[in-house]
Parts: sequence; structure tokens; C-alpha cells
Amino acid sequence: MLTIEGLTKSYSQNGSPATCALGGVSFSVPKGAFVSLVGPSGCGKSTLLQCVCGLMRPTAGRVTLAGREISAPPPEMALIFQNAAASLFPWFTILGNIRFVLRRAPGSKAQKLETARSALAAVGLADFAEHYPWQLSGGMQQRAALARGLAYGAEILLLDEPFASVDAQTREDLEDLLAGVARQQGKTVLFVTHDIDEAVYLADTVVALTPPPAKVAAILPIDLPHPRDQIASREDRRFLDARKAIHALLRRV
Amino acid sequence: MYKGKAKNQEGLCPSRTLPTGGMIPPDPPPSIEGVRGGSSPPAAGGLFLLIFLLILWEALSRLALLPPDAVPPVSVIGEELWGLIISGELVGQAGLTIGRALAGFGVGGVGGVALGFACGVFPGFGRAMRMTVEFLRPMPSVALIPIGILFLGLGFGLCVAVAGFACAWPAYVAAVAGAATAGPELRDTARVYGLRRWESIVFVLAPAALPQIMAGLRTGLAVAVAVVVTTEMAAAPNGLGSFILEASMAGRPGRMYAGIVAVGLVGAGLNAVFVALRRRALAWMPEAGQR
Repeated sequence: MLTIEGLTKSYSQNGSPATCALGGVSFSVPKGAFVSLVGPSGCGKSTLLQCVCGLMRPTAGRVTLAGREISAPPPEMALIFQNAAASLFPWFTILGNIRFVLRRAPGSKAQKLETARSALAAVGLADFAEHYPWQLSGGMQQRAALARGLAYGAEILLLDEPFASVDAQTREDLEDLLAGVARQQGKTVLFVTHDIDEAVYLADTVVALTPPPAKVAAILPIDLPHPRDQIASREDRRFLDARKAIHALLRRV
Repeated sequence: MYKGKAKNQEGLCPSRTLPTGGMIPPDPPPSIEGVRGGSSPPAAGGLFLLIFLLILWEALSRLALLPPDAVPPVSVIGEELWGLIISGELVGQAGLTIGRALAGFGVGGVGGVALGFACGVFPGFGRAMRMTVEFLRPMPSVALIPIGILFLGLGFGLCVAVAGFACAWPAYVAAVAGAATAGPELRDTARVYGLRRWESIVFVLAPAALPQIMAGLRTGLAVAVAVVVTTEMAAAPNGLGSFILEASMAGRPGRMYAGIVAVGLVGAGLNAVFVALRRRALAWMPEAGQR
């Protein structure tokens, strides 16, 4: 269980009055759950993720994983950035990128290579192991970043608007890929997006945030059967109801 | 930059372009080269200009439109150069100059890169060094020759020290900038995946800085050759710089020009070797070596 309690973050720059990005956000992510986090742009979603994975210290509040407070990036979490191209090491091949983050993992070289290759296979990039990141399309770069997170063995995947900069068709493929892999490997997912449809389509639970200073506006369970389908699920009454409710919520606040 | 290079193409690397939308791209239109019927490399145009200028020089000198005592015809210089190469005299002098330049480049390049990278990676150290560096950096290296003579005498040590000082600064500047090249996503990625600070410096910040460092070192190498030749003219008993100056003072312009040509060849040769090494070091970059 990943618990976020009263998370507050304010920035102050050169003596100017502090900007409050997060104004006390609390929710929890049960093990194995897929939680989407939506909110208006600029509401501090990325800041929240950075605090959750220990890259940034909150001003107040805390994040705990199974009761243990997070103060530095823990091995149980992998963060996938929106800009995959900027997060892949350009001097390593795709396979090299994955092997690099396994430096400190236990196991022999051969075992790690096997782990890396199976992660690439899981995202459909088995044939591109020896390519450099710039040789891949945006969608494939995002797959590679996902494979790196999977290979790392983190049980919790944090994704920061990962599909925001790929085209619509690729985006649907990536959504289904993520949903499939996460279920199959029993991952816990905290998925940040500004896209309400995407949030509802993927999640078991949607957490909606208010504009800054962000607070939790609502927590909505999404009662849609798995596996989801890009056509059928999006036409489902329950999908449309949830989508409408979140829209109304975000407009009101 | 390489970032986002292939962003808009759903395909792969340029060498594996997929026919988009099921359409087969038409044959490329015949190029101008094709029309001219020659597959001449692009360098050929530059070669023609050089040959033309050399012929012009020859003619002007032969017609005594240029003072033949100061500017002998190209053919005379060429003959002199060939003779000096055959006799081994020029080769020996060039060897001395190359040795000094490479030693100076090694000392100054490594020192400059190490100092600059450390200044870039550790901001506190960078601030502490700043005043000192900004005082030393604009100092003309040849102004240090008199000091160097006191400590090192004439010759190898002096040339290495002065050239090393001169070529450290382009390397330093490039390394400072290079240390800031890795973006926040790369730095955060390293932290998320549990890498230690030193691993992040060695395996993330350093390779990210490499393209800039290589560019700085390339400038530094050219500086090293130039400064070694200058120092040899001022304070060395041998080497190409000394050879050129002696020939000039002895009123033997053919020899002098042969020495100058040798300096040019040494500089171009070292640069070519460096560019080849850089291409290997940066093989991961798209179009490596074209910048």
C-alpha cells in the first residue's frame, strides 16, 4: 500500500512570495491497483509524482510505502517520464539503457541480460535491442522507457503523462500495452494524465485534483470489466458516466 | 541536436526508411553531378581553387610581380620541400614539433577538461576557481615564455608547458559547458534507478559532456601546434619554428616556406587523426563527426 498523506509543496524563489503547488493531497494506492491522477494542467501533478518517488522533498506531509516513509527513490518504484527521448541515455542502445539501470541489481550478468531481453519482448521491442534511442519513433522510445522500468523490477510504476506526446493511434496501442503488462505482472500503477478519457479507460480508481494549490477533488472507483477495449469500454455506460462526473468536477472547481 | 531527431517519423533509422502510406518513393531526380557525368566528390571544387591560386602564385613570382627574394615560385618551394624531406632534415624537425605539441596537448587537454568538468559538476568548486581562472585564461601564453625559460630552460619542457597552458582553456570552457549538458530527465532517471552520485557523474554527466569536450579538444589541438611553433621560434634550438626562423634570417626563403608548409601539414594531419578518433568515441551520435 502506497499512502500519500497531507502532501504539501510550495516553492519560493529569491524571496518572492511562495507559490503553493500542492495544498495537502491525501489518497492511497492499494497494492496491484491502477490509479489515475487527473487534474487541470499546472495543478502540480508532476510535482506530486516527484514527491511520491522521493526525487523531491515535500514541504509538509509524507509518502509511505508499506508504512516506511519515502525520502529517496526506493527500489520498489520506477518513474516513466513524458519525454521518453530525454530520459533514455543517448549513448546506450535500448538494451544498454536497460542493462545500465540493472547495475546494482543482484544476479549474474547473464541473468540481467535475460531480464533485459524479456522486458524488451514484453513491450514488443525484441528486434530493436541494438538500436540507439534516436533511431526509434516517439512511441517506440516510450516503449523502451517502459521496458526499462519493468526490467528494473519495481513493483510500483509511476507514469508522468507518458503518452501525451505521441499520436492518437500509437497512444491507444501504448495504453493497451501498459494495461496488459501491468495486469500480467501484477504491478501497482500511479498514472498521471490531463486526459480524462485516458484516466478512466485505464484505471481502477481515478483521483481528481483541484487547480493549485492542489487538493483531492474526488476519488472515483471505475467499475469497468478488464481487459478493457478501446471501442467497447469507451462506449460503456459506466465509462461515460465516470467521464461526465469528472468533467463536471473539474469544471466546477 | 540528436534529441527528437526521429520524432515525427513513425519509421526507424534513416538507413531503414519504411515506405510511408504504402507508396514507394520515386527514384531521386538526376543530380547535377549526374548531368555533368562525373561523380566528383564535393571536395574537388575546393581543390580547383587551391590549384588555381598556386598557379597564380607561380606566375606572379616568375614574372617578378612578387619580390622573388621574399616569395619564390611555388615550384622552387616544392623542390626545396622535397629535398628537405628526402634528406630527413625536415622530418626530424617536424617530429620534434609533433612530439612537443602532443605532449602539451596531453597535459593541457587533460588538465583543462578535468578542471572544467569539476567546475561544472561541483558548483561550489566552480565558484571558488572562477576568479583565478578568469585571470589566467586571457593571458597570452607566449607571455609566459620568459618565466618558463627560468624554470625549464630552452626546448622540450618549455614548449610543453606553454602549449599545455594555451590549449587547456578551450578544453576547460568546453568541459564547463559540457558538464551541464545532461538534462533534468537524465539526471532524475539516474536517481530513480538508484544510481549513486559518483555513478551519475561518471556514467551520465561525463558521456553527455563528451561531444562538447571533443569540440573543445579539437580547438585545443590546433592551438597546441600553433603555440609550440611560436615557442620554438622564440626559445628553442630546433623544431619547425626554429627551422623557419633560421631560414628566414639566413635569407633562404625556399627553406622558410618549406618549413611553413610542413607546419600546415602537421596541423592538418593531427586534426585528421583527432577527427577520426572523435568519430569513434561518438559513434552513438547520429551523423557522428559531422559537427
